[in-house]
Amino acid sequence: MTPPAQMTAEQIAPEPKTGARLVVESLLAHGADTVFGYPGGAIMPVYDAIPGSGLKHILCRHEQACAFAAAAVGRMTRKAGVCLATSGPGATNLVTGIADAFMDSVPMVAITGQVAQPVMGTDAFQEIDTFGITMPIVKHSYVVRDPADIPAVIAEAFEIAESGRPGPVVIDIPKDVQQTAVEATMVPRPPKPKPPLDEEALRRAEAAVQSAERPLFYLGGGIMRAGAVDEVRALVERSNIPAVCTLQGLGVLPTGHPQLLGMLGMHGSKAANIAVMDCDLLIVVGARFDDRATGKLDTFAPKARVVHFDRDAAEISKLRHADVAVPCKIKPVLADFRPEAGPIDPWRAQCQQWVADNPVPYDAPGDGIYAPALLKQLSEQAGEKFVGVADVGQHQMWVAQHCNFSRPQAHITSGGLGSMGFGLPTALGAKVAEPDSIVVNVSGDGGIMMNIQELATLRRYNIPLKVIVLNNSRLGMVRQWQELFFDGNFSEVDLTDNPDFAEVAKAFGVDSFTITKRDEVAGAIDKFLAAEGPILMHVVIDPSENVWPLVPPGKSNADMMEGADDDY
Amino acid sequence: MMTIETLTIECENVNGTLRRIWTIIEQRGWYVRSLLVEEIEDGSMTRVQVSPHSSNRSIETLRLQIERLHNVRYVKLERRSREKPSQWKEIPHATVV
Repeated sequence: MTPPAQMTAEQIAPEPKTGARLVVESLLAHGADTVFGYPGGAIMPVYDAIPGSGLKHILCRHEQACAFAAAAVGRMTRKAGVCLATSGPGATNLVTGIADAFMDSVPMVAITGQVAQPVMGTDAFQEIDTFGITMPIVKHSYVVRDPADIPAVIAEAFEIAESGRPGPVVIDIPKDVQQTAVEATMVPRPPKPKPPLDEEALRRAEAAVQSAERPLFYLGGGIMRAGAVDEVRALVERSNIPAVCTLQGLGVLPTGHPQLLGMLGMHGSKAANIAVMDCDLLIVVGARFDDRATGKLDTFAPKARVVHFDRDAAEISKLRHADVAVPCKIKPVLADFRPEAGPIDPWRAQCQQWVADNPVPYDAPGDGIYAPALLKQLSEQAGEKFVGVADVGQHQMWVAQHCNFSRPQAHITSGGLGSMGFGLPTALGAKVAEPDSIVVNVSGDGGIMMNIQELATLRRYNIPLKVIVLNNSRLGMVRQWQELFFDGNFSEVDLTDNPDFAEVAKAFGVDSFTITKRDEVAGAIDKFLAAEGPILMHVVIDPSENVWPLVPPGKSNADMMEGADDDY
Repeated sequence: MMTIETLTIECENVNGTLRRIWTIIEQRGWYVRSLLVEEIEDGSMTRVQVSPHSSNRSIETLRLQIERLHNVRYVKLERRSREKPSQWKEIPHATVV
């Protein structure tokens, strides 16, 4: 019998292959040509199959960094990044990175080795219940019991990770499953389900916009995850309705867009928060009413009806009732959403006035380095190719507030989990995913120490990442909260015994330098951006500098503090 | 009065699905009062009675959070705000877990 033309010889008569070989070939078959991993006992068969396979492996120096770097690929490309680790501590070290991807809806596939099936459940060496430990922080997970299942499991894992609301998928593979040879062929991804669209809801959403006097877009990270940035930009522009964005929604409208009032929430712009408080219709797209965005929930947008578009129906009316719920695939639906706003010129003018009345000040006193000004200048000078990857803390908010973002991928941040240590490995992964971008990791002196070992990974692969350490010798955000909300009782925030970060970088073989004065900034940025290899700029800043504005925890967004003298 | 909600969940009979459902319920601020599982022809049927830890939890949100799990086919809210759990007489040969 003549085989169908589209079948390969391998599909007709597959050679027996080990489970480990099937893992590697399946990854390649689904477009994952680069993985971030760390070998160990229970994943050794997979590592044995990597050399000569065509799969590029990047050896990070800690499994947590592998997970962050893999998720960075997902954040940049919307395709699942892949990390590998062994059982036990290898898997538990992945957990923070997996949880971070889960909270920010990032596609990722994490493959872990497991002890052999005969000893599973016996407290064997490096045995841990990876499936159970990761269950609350994954979109889905598997324990593979039969090597013949590997191609189908990996195909399904990529589909689940990338489709719908994206998220991480864990595949735990016992060592004996990796070692056993079977006849198996690659399988394609399962078909994508098409969610039904409630056309009537869409029409009601349009009617709600038409009847509103003060409509406002509330744009979130789900837009980028859905690949719907162009559709949203077109929608905002054709409707002429003002917009605010969440931390994860920065870049959906480019910084400086005339309709963008800024980021809302705890460290958002005053114009954005005032507009939310005053609007009569909130058109929410791909956002989830996170508490850092809403402040005290029952005072949030008190005059507004809500139209909520989201891929995940479970997010609609979870925290704020939606008057019009549109669970949908955002990209095609927004292209179909044709609202015609009523006479809203006075509202638009008012929004613009709020922006004009609340300029961001950059004239800090003294000759010390003012981090917001440095970051603004850096991102402007880097231009359209700038990708800012923050760690977590004060500097994270300064990046969000003061850098220019031409697109959502230009701002990578740990929004949901808020993981210190996120910055350096995530930036490493982002640079691998987009080698032509100017990827800048901005970390604080607290966060950089949590994954500083990844400087070795930069050096090993000569990844030309740019790292800024904003060093205030403090856990700055905690210090700020202790100053403002704990009567200045500074507890365990002093990091004045930090190492010299420039010297540490040099020890790893990474170029570095230190600046301490404002008049050094311009030359430093030139030197930093001109570097061809990895470089670290150590920036010493004032430890008493705070992030403003600030909505105190548990307060309404109407109660923004603009300085330490404000009451709260 | 303690609110008791009853959900019927049909899912594929895949290893880990039940554990995943239980995890979601507890993670999302509900406590599992009782859980019955029956194997059906091409999957399993679970009926679970839950109560919220605090009054601001929406059973509809929990229903959707369970329904979005990969191996879950549908989740139906059986009845609302009962004072006492039912006796589960509707499912023959039910297994108490």
